[in-house]
Amino acid sequence: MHIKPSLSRKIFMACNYTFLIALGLLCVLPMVHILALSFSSKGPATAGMVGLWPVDFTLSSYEYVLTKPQFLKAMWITVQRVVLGTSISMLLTLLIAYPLSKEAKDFAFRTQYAWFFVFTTLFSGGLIPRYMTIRDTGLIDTLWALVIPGAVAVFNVILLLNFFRGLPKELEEASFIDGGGYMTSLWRIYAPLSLPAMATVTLFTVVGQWNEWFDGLLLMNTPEKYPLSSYLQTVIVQENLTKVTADQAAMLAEVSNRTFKAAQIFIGALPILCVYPFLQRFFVKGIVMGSVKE
Amino acid sequence: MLAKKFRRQWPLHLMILPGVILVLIYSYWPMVGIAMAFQKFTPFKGLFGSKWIGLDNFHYVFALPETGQIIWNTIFISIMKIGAGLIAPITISLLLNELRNELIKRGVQTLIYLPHFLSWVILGGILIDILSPTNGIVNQVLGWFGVEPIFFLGSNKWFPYTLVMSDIWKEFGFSTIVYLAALSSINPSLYEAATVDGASRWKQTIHITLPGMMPIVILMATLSLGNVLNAGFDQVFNLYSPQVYQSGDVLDTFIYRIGMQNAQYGVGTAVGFFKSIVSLVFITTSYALASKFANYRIF
Amino acid sequence: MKKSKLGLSTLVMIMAFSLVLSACGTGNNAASNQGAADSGSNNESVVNNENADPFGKYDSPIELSAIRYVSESTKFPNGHDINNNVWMDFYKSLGINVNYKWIVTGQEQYESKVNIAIASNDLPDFMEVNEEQLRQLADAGQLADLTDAFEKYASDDLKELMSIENNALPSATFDGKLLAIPSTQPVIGGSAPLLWVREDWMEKLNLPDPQSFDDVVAIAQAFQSQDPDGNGKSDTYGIGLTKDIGLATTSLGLFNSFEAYPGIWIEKDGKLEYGSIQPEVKETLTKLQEMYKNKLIDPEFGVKDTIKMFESITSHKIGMVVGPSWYPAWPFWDMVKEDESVKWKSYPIPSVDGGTATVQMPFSVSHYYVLTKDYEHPEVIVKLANLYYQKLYSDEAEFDTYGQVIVDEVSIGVNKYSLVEVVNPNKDLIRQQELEEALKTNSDAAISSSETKIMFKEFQTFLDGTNPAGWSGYVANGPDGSMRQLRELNDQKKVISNSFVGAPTETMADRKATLDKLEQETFVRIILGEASPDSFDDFVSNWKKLGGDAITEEVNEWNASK
Repeated sequence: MHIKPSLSRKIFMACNYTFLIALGLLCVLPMVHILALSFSSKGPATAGMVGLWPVDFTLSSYEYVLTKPQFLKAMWITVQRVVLGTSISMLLTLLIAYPLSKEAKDFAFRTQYAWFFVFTTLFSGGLIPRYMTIRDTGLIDTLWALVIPGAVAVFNVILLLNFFRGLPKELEEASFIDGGGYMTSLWRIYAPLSLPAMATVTLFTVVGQWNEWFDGLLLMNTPEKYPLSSYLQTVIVQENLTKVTADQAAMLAEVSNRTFKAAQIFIGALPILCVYPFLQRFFVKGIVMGSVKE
Repeated sequence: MLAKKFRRQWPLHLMILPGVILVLIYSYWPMVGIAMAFQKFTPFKGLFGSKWIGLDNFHYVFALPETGQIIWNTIFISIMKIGAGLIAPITISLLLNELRNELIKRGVQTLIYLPHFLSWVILGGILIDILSPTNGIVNQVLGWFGVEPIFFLGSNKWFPYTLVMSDIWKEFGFSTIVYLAALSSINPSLYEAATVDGASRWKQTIHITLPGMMPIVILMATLSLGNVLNAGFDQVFNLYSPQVYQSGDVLDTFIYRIGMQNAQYGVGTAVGFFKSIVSLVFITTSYALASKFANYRIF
Repeated sequence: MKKSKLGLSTLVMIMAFSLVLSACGTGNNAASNQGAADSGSNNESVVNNENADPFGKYDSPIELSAIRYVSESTKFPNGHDINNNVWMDFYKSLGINVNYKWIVTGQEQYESKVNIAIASNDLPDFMEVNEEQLRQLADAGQLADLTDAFEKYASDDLKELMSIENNALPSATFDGKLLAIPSTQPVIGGSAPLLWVREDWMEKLNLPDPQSFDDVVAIAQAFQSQDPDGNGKSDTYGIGLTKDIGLATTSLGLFNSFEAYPGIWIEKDGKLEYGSIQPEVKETLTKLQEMYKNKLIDPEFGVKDTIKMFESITSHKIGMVVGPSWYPAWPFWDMVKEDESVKWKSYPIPSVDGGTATVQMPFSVSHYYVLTKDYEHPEVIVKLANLYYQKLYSDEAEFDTYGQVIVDEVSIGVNKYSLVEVVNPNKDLIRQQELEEALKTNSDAAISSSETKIMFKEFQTFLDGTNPAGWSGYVANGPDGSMRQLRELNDQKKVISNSFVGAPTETMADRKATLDKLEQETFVRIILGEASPDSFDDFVSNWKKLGGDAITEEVNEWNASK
């Protein structure tokens, strides 16, 4: 850092910047294509003439989408589900990961507990028993059905417990001496000191809640209650064209507008795309260091 | 002694209890459904009214002529995905870690994270265009280097690699996040000390960064081994065609087709159970190996 | 050591759960062993005691729980929704209170949800099911017997409608009992193949009309090599195809040209035989391979679905395609709207020996309406069907209330809100005939349905130039339209359909997925030239060995017992 960089270092850095920027551009192209489609007119869009720039620029797709009540309703449900689902899931994840990050001598049966959770990622009873359980616990057609059954995210638990283990034990011991309990230790020391890990796990949870579409279709009784991802799925997936009658085909032709689809996909993804840049501020180094010095 | 231990530990058990209860209800309770793997499941007769047929569902699947090829395809594709899915994000996160310009660093991070949010239905349509041998952009670029056009989605030779490449391209940015988090958890004082000692950046990477990431790398590797029979249904389903059945048909698409023809829940569950057992074996083995050789317990 | 102990304890724990669960599980299902034999017997008295009025009102309102899907394309007038619309009001006025247990968007999602409802024993009184679901429910004895209800309550119109396709009712009959009302649909206009050709390209290159398959090849050759779009690049193909060889209309028409009928069962020497394994199929594949080699076929067809192929059509890459009668509405209209010089014209599929070929279409029923067994008013489902037909197509039809309404110049198909849909399988043909007559006389007096009258108005506005969007309707249903060509074929008995209908046989259920995959893979590989035409013979013997022979036997047993 204070040393003058060598020539080979300079060359490496130049290549590195070029490579990563090129990679970034490669990844953004499909999104740009969808954006271009959403601003194009239907004609060029169906002919596959739209590349990365709109052809016959128009805002009509956005007018259509933003005046479509179901789209906005679904967006609102998704916001609710993400807030509720992330809160519950993060709380549970912390409460499970913290005890599991202890050594077996400090927490009896920790290994058994750990396998108890990991086992559920490997074996599942399948769709129908799962559906029946959710039904029998009375969650069908409520927001809770989207939030509760999947609230324990085992992958996140494992990730977090691994980060917790990396924190110096001395901090917690000091807190115990001051008379603090486990809860104090979790909230005051572990959670704040593993911000990058917490940000990662939060991001995974938010993204997971945002993207999950199947449970909405399965567990909600009316399309008005679909979250955005379920709604988008019904928009994107093409109905089978081998079985339609002439009259149905004419109606399908009307909704087959690719520019409308593109606009919905883009607006549907926009909020979640903004979450990451926001959370990036938590990927900072040196928190642990600072607190130990104190 | 035990009582004393319990008195000290009970808050920990209490903390974990809500999670245990939820998992019991929503994960363990439905596992009764695994019984279907050993039944000719008939709706309305229910799980315990249906006929028990032992291993017949397994025999049925393994006796079909296409099964061998399908399992081979699945393993071939998923192993490549697991390998590349570890190497690509680790490399990229190390490269990103070298960037000093925060704006560019965060910008690149955000850009590479975008493809994760496009579903395979959408990407399928886009890939057919850009990978087209006649006018796709990829083949045009390859053409500059004198490469003959390649039918990435239509040739059995290329199809599995196309699956792997496109999957990595879609997911590497998102997978990078975990490693970036691991990188930012490394104690900066280690780097400071190394700089004072005059260690080069390269030496620092080898001796500080990599060991610091190692626990997370081992963890991710172990967990991803559980996917050895998951070639990714959504992706394959949206990209394959009869032309590449030979190299691209995998267990999940196979089950989907069987399910389409007839609601053969028994067969579907049997294959699912088979996949679970294989995953269990892989996870347990790698857990044991990591604990023995790296002295690291993953969970 | 420690680890194995852990594994064991987990296992024991799981086993314990299973035991608890199994104790609960058995209780629920005791009642389900009743066979189909006695379902409906307790309903007969109800039917007998009433006056059989096909459209009768219930004096004390009855409750009917139902499930349904709403298509993404379904629209509602302002303030209306699926629970509150003209049909629901109408049902209520007749004393039928419909309560939806659940509603889902899209037919595919609906079918999955019905599968789950069946597997988890969570059925409403009324639902729409596919063939496979019908068989499952019938086998399990879960359905109400509609035999008497249909006999007594079906209106004359409905009975006549059901007899147009003589396999319709038999496909819903199990052990002599009618367990479902078939949803008959006009599939001829939806699926029967025609040859669509870019007429403007034909004119430009001075090509004659296609009279035989050789002409088709010649036209394809010209479209491929003579730069019909005049852009100086060799970027056009003769004929479009999709990856679903032998499944989609796009390829079926080509097979039909050679008198091959893949995917359906055809009568041959008094026996039913599977179309895909006949020698005519090999002949077609050999020809297609040659055409592919000569670059007459889109070289990337193997990865393209219908929508992707539409894109090639719309971007002027393809000059000829086999497709159903509705292609003018989609994708052709998108082109014509942009560029008036584009002309698409349909021809009946030319036969390989010259003349027109006999073409295939699917069975006109793919969905059924059923009531679950304990429902007290089995006749209600028959009444619903009566009412649909009465309100839309009979002499007393009120089409502009129950069929199609115009709100703010947007036409809304309100018939989609009805619980059942039974349509004359020949509806499209009748409509075309009436429109043609009406154009001749310039009066809609002879038109029987209001739906057709609306279309006639669109014709008139299209012809006087005030309604360019009427183009697609006119090209399909006008005096030279595609539907007219189908009508002629139909009159000459040159449209055939699957001779095996209804629920799949046992071996089909077991093996069809495997056999279909083998078939599609073989067909595509032969066309691409990756396999020689002779590999077709291996396919046939494999097909037979892997269950095809057993299926053929079962199908013929079914045919004999019909």
